[in-house]
Amino acid sequence: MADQQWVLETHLQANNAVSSVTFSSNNSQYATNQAGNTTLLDYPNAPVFRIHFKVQFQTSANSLGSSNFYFHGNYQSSNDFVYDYASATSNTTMTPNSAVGTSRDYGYSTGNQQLGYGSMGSQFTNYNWGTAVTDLDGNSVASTSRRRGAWCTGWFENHFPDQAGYYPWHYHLGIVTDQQADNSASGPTPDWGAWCIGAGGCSAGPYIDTITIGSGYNFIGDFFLFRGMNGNYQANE
Amino acid sequence: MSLREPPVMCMIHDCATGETTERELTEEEYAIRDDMQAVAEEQQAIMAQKQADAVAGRQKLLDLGLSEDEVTALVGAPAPDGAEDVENPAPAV
Repeated sequence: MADQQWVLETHLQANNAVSSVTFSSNNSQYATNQAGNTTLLDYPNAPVFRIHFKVQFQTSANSLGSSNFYFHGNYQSSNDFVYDYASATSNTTMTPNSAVGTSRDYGYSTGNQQLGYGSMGSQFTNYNWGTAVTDLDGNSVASTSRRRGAWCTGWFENHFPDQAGYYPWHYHLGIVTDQQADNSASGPTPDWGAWCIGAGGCSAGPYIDTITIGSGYNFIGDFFLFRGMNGNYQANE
Repeated sequence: MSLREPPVMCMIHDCATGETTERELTEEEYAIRDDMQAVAEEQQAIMAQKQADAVAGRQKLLDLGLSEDEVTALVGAPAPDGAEDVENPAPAV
């Protein structure tokens, strides 16, 4: 395959529940092209950071608080953010057959970028439904299996602007279930999921050599850190 | 010995070395986590109250004699509890 601009810098797999994951020394890894030449993944060579993820929050809380899911670069101060969301249980709830508006949250000079209203607990109240089921391969899947929990998927992206005081973030995530999340006695699938889209930045300093993603709830999941380079410096197998 | 039981863990990946480590939170990290969780619980309570207020407020408008369509025109559609699952409709009774 020809040399390309995008590098999968690392894949972090959290199989044991943790409260945060951190990528450190983000600017110290090298990309290698087909000729064997290396290029440092520093800010000038690789200015775009993109993290794709899937995560399960180990809680039965249907709605998370905004600060229950967050991320930040090197600084836990001077973070600003705004996002539009449809939460799991508020009157912005969506169902497969309808959606009722969105709401928004924002913060100024806070510790981190927050997006918790755009997700929900993966062990939502009604997730332990029924008994064990059999999957397509004939395996028994217990009612409380992680495979029955809801996955929140999404991405964070940052284009490092190479200036002293500010770096921007953009993000988008969503989560759906095949059950009503709130265990209400009403229709079959209200309170179906949540999503958000937002943006923010930090004025405490220009550095994102470290990125931390965290929650007050423990979580499992996968995190892929990609770097976009300013040239075709990487041979991806 | 853990600072708390069960210990709360974090994962750190060093992109320069490729090494991943897991460790318990430090006292300072626990304190930050506790503060954020307290804020989140307040946020969750506020959201639940908003939901309850919306339902109660809508009902008061209906009790005043407004029709569903009129209430929706004023305050928007109701929360979609009760929406039919088109893939798995409720059995006829």
